Amino acid sequence: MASEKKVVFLRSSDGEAFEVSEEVISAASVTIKGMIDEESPSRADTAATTTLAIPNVTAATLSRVLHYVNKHFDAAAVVGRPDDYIFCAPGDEHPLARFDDDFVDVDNDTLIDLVHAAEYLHIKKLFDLTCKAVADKLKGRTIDQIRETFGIVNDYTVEEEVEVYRENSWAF
Amino acid sequence: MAIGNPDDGAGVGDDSGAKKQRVDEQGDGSEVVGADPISVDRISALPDDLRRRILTHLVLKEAIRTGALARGWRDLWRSRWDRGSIEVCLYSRNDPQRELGALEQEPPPRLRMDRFSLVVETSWLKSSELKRFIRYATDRRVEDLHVAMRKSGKNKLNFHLPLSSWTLVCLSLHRISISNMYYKGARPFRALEAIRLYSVSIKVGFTTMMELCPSLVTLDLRDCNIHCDIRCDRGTRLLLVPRTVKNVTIVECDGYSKIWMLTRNLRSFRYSGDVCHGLFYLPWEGSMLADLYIQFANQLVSNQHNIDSLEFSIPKNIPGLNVLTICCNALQVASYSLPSNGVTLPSRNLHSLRELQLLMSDMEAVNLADLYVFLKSCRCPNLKRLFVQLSAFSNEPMEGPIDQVREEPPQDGFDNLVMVKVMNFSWRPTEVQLVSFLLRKASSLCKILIVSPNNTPLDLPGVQEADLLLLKEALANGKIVLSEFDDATIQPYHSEAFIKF
Repeated sequence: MASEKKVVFLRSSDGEAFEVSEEVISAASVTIKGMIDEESPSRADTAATTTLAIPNVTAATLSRVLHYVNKHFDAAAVVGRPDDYIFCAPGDEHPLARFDDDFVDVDNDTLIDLVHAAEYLHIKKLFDLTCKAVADKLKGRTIDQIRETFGIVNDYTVEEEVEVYRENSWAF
Repeated sequence: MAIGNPDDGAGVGDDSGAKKQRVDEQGDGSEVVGADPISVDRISALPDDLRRRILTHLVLKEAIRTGALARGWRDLWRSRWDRGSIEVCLYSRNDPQRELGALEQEPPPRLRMDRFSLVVETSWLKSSELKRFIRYATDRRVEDLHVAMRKSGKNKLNFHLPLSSWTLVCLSLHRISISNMYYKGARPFRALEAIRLYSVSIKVGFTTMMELCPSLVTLDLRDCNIHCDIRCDRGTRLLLVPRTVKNVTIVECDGYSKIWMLTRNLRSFRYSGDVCHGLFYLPWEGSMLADLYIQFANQLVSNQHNIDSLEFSIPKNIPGLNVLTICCNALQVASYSLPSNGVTLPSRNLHSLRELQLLMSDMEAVNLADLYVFLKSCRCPNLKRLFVQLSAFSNEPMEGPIDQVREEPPQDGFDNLVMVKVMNFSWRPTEVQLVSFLLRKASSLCKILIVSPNNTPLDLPGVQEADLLLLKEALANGKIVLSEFDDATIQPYHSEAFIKF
């Protein structure tokens, strides 16, 4: 067998197809690996490329996800990195730490789309990265600032709100 | 459809594809651009599991704060970790060993533990067992530690603070002693922000203990016996509140003769206790105080020295104060400390005050006069809610001549008052006078809620005819709502259990 790199196409919810190395995406996404494994008996070793529908992810988000995946899971780029490196603090000299910082430096909606996509595609590193990025937006802000940042409407009655503050008044 | 742009965003259906395409070409990626505002924001719309995962990246304090964002966030933080919060209640002599056995067999610690609570029904717990529980919580890097004895027993247990977790953020103890052992060479708890001690005997020097808590923000001591290790001249035992502290509650404590605040960032101060030995000096001027509660358990003995020193305990200018609770004994101080030439000009700037609660354990003519003097001396144009707590035990009819209130009520300053609630109203002359005064002077007043054991007006001797008529009229037109039972939904900000007479 020629060791041509196998590719798959991922079709976003809005119909755009993206090409990605099968090996890379299988290493990254548990969900897609599962889809490929299901597909494999039928396609055998034909030359036809596989197109997988990713119904929950838009093209904009999917292209970002694939950018991340290619950086992190392309074997040429990362060899034997421990999976849990993202627990490194920002500023650590991991080569991709800077990339990660920039990657999640996006507006809230984009970030939440990424959380959804990472969860759906089951890409643990990306999921942790994006969850942490959302958490960072909750840190060091007043409750009003957080509400404003995310457009959260305060639906507590005055009495309920006082009760919430009172339950753990030390934290406020 | 784009994710997170739910189908109920009706109307954008047909053109959203084209619109989104442009967005995509710009690589903007923001799918909800141009969408109608939807009722639930996107972060709150995330499934609970996802939001829990997000919360695991926060420290406990920040996680708790998200509970105040909106209803959908209220208790989410509590379940962010699997086994992140453990409560152990011990009911019998055999429980400690069994519980300890189970806990100690758990798999090795996860990242950290939010809360460990140990509640002992009786004092059957041995000192060594207590230590094992604390060690368990410490090994799991607990942030919020709660240890409580349900009943005091002869067997006094000691809590050794230096054995606790370095990650400790909040410590609360009920009915247990803090011992003076192991303090030499103890390392400070840099994360510790809140200490709450109820019925605790603090055997270690208080200042020594505070030195172990360099980041303390909240100090809440109730019914505690405090060993003050700083003594000044003539045996004054000084309770020093550290510089970092912003919230102080000291209720019915013993062992100090003065409280001294080193902090200038005080945000909340609540004091209830004896006025003779418990004086506090607060940095009123320029303070950030937003909530203040002052209750003196006993009346003022009117000698000049006493009054002069107490003057510092009564607020003057606190432009940022939102909520004030003050008792009749403190009002007496306020009244004494004004010039006695009969002229009372507004001298207290309480510009932000929204809620005032008056704890009137006595409501004689002199108390009402003190209240009038106090109100006249205050500038609080934004006062919205007034709570008057009368004594539950003063409803026997008065005998003998009825004193006249020797002070004219204030003429103005209640333009924004919308709500008044009076508890334990018993139709005595001074009480009727106070309510009728409010009916006359508060132009925006919508409701006066009166909770009274007598839910029809009583005509007691000494009540001014005109005042009572005014009340009856207000009852008839619905401005006064009279009820035998308390309406739990409208409570003062300071409605904690320590208010009792």
